[in-house]
Amino acid sequence: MTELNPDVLSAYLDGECTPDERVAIEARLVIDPAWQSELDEVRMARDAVRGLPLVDVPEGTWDAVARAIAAADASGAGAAGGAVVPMRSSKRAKWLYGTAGAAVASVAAVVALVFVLPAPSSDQPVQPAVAAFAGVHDARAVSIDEPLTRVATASLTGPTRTANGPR
Amino acid sequence: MIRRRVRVALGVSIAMFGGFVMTTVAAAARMRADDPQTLIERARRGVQTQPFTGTVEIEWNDGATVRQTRVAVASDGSRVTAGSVSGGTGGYSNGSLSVSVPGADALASAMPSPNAKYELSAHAGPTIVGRSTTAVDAAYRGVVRERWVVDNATGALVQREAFDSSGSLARRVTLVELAIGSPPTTTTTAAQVAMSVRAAQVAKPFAAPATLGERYREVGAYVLGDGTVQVFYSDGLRDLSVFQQRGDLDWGSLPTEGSVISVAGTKVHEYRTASGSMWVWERNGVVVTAVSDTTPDEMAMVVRDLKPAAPSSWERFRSWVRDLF
Repeated sequence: MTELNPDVLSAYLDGECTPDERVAIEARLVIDPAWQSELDEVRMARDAVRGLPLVDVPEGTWDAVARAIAAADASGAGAAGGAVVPMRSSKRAKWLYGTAGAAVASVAAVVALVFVLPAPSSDQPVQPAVAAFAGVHDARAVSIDEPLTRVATASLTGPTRTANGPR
Repeated sequence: MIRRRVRVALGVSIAMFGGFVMTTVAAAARMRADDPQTLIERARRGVQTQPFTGTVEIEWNDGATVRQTRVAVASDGSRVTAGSVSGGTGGYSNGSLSVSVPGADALASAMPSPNAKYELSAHAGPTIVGRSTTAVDAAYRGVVRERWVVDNATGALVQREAFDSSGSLARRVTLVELAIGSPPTTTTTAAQVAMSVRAAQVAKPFAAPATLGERYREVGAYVLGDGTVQVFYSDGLRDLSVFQQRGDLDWGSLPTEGSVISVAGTKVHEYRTASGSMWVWERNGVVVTAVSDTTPDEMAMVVRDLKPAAPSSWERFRSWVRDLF
């Protein structure tokens, strides 16, 4: 797996990968910042879409739109036939509008960045398997250290008692 | 006459040279047998020499009290098995573990020599399970940190003690019963699935510095099946694994044993067990779990090396804006 494919990462986030694919993707994520960035972007897009609220339009809205379009067609008014009314403007007003618009856009952009960019720490809660990690470490250490005392101490399982009882 | 004298002189010379060579070889062999580094290497491979069964007593300081428990051990010459002897004040359940004793592998060849950190010395050791021993002291900065007691006859380790930087005993593992020639019967095997990677390839937010704490050197890096990164370190005698997972630590999910401490301003959950220390903390969106047979004071130096970085100006601004809204 060498191609950086957003579809693969999307499937990974949705839990649709096979165990082998999952291991390969996670190994690649560890060593490749480009994959991590892509994953963050895919996650952000996915979360943004899922975060959009579902809103029902008021009853009769679509009928009203259809009637308005029909009426416009019947009267011959439209983009081509409608009267154009010139706006009164001055250089000062243009400058004010431009400056205010730019300021609003800047504030909106900063706020958007603050809330849209992924936080440095993901919100994913991690429950480290402390006793299992001790076992993984001991198994590796035994292979290089003197085995007698290492195996004896490693055979004693580590801390396992949680607030909800043993696990 | 002259020919006879030459023959006698030649014979005497050969005899003297032979005696000198034999004396030198014997002295060299004796020196090598007493060499601390050689004793440690023999102890690491000592259980391969002959089958045995026995009992190991483990004492360790959990920070509040000294705990003690006993574990049955056995070796068939190539596999060491341990587990399940009742009694003691361990507080932790006994499992069963059986591990093959390997020959030299890539990990072992990457390990630093104990001489690189410790000053090694050997002296006569105590009599343990009726066997005469030699003790090897490994001192760092003038304080004995490890003592290995090896059986003079087989070279096998019969006692190992770990001390902290003040010289206080942190853990003692002693063979208290031994029957040579009885093969083990348990065959449980510890299994693990991991993909080996080069430490240099471990990218942010994970960390894999080449050295850590008090002269621990990186000897291997792995990605476990669930994406956890493991970086393995050794100082020649003790070893250390740093496990890293992306996300925020769910403190409430941690086992309730141990205690919560602060190391250089970093909140750490600390466990002291029969096999060493396990410490858990957060570091910039990564949950770090360090496991080692080292002492708590050396673990504290690992935390200092892997403590969270201060937030950037942008992060401080983001926090401020988020709080504002």
